[in-house]
Amino acid sequence: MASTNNMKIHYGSLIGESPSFLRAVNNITIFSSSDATLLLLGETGTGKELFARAIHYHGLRNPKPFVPINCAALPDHLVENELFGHARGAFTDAHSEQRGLLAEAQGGTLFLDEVNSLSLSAQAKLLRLLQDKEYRPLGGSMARSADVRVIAATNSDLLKQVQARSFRQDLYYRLRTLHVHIPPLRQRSEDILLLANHFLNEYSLQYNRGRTFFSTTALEKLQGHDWPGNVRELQGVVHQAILMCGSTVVSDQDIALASNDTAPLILSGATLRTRKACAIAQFERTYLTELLSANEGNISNAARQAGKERRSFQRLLRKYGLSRASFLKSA
Amino acid sequence: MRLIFPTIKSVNTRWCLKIPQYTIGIRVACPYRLEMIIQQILSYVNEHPDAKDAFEGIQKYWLVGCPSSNSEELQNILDLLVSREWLLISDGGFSPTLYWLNKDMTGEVQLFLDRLAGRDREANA
Repeated sequence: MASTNNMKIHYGSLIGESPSFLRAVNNITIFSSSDATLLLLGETGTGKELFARAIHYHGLRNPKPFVPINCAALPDHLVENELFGHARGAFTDAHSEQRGLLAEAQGGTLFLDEVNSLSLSAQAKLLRLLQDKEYRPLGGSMARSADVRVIAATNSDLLKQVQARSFRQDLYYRLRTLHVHIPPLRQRSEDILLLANHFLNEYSLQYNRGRTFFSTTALEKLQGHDWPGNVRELQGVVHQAILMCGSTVVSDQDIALASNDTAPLILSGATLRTRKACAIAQFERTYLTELLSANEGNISNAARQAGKERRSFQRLLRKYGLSRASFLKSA
Repeated sequence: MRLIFPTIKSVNTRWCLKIPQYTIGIRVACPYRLEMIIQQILSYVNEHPDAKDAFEGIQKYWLVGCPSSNSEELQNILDLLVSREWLLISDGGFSPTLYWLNKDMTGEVQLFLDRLAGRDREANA
């Protein structure tokens, strides 16, 4: 839990004590009191959605909806429909009126992750929304007021995209009215062990493993890694380690980093239950990855093919930290 | 965005004090923890009837001060509350599932919370 000015504040899963992280967290307190558009900048896996939620829940709009949307997952031709909804009869299959995500977020916060993925035409629509605070559902005759705070996030250098003319300059400046840079994990190495222990406790609870610890060599291995995938990578490594670990102590052999992920999958000394859980986890992860890949990130199709209900399929994806966005054709 | 309305129609308003019966099939380590989590979620939406968020937000912000709950357990609880029609969900194709209070059921939710509070008072007396 982050602490600033000697005050313990609840920030969901934002955990850290390093100065660069605390600076970013401190901005949450400041920017929460504003209603201005905010841009979160940070590499993939740094926790941009966690920051967006923290800002929402510490702001004036906290009793209202928080609606996250991954722009990379939005096909260009559906952007307007998803965001603004449509009126009955707007197109051939529009048999009834459908609310868009803006209507779902009314009064609250709309979080646009990977905003850099929006096409130029979608960017124009977003800009118009930010400027006019109004939108018109597809096929609708009346403009509707959009009472939402927009928080956008990107892991790419938007200024470079502006220079390359793939991102609108006017939208860039509109979005970055307020901005927060979230530091990568390698720049907050003081937080690695704090986060690792937090995830270890979470997964110990999830798998009913009782109190579990890292060995000294495991801690050294974690501390020495560069973490290009940031906190999300660390979380995944700890998740696998707890499955691999056959005792209450997670050793360095249980830690499979990207550079040495050829470590033996089944460790000697592990119980049947542990080995089975590990094998199932590995199978499920591979299966889901292949399935999403084959279906180009379409969750409904993948769930149908797997013979699972969509929500329980999404639950599985969450369990293995798999994001549909990574499997889209354009990704 | 398409709204999904739960299919279970036979809502028994008298089940309120029968959580253990009702939770058959839900895998939980401790029934009291389950009850606390249900109570916390319902209290949250009762207090913030316009609140709406995805799983991660509920886990991190609606359940503040509640005993830790693993993902599977919380998902089961949310499914349970949706099946009781106390929470509604969205099934947007391009955004995560969102959960919020079914305002048509506010009275039933309030009744449930009142009865739990009354039972807690009796237990503490």
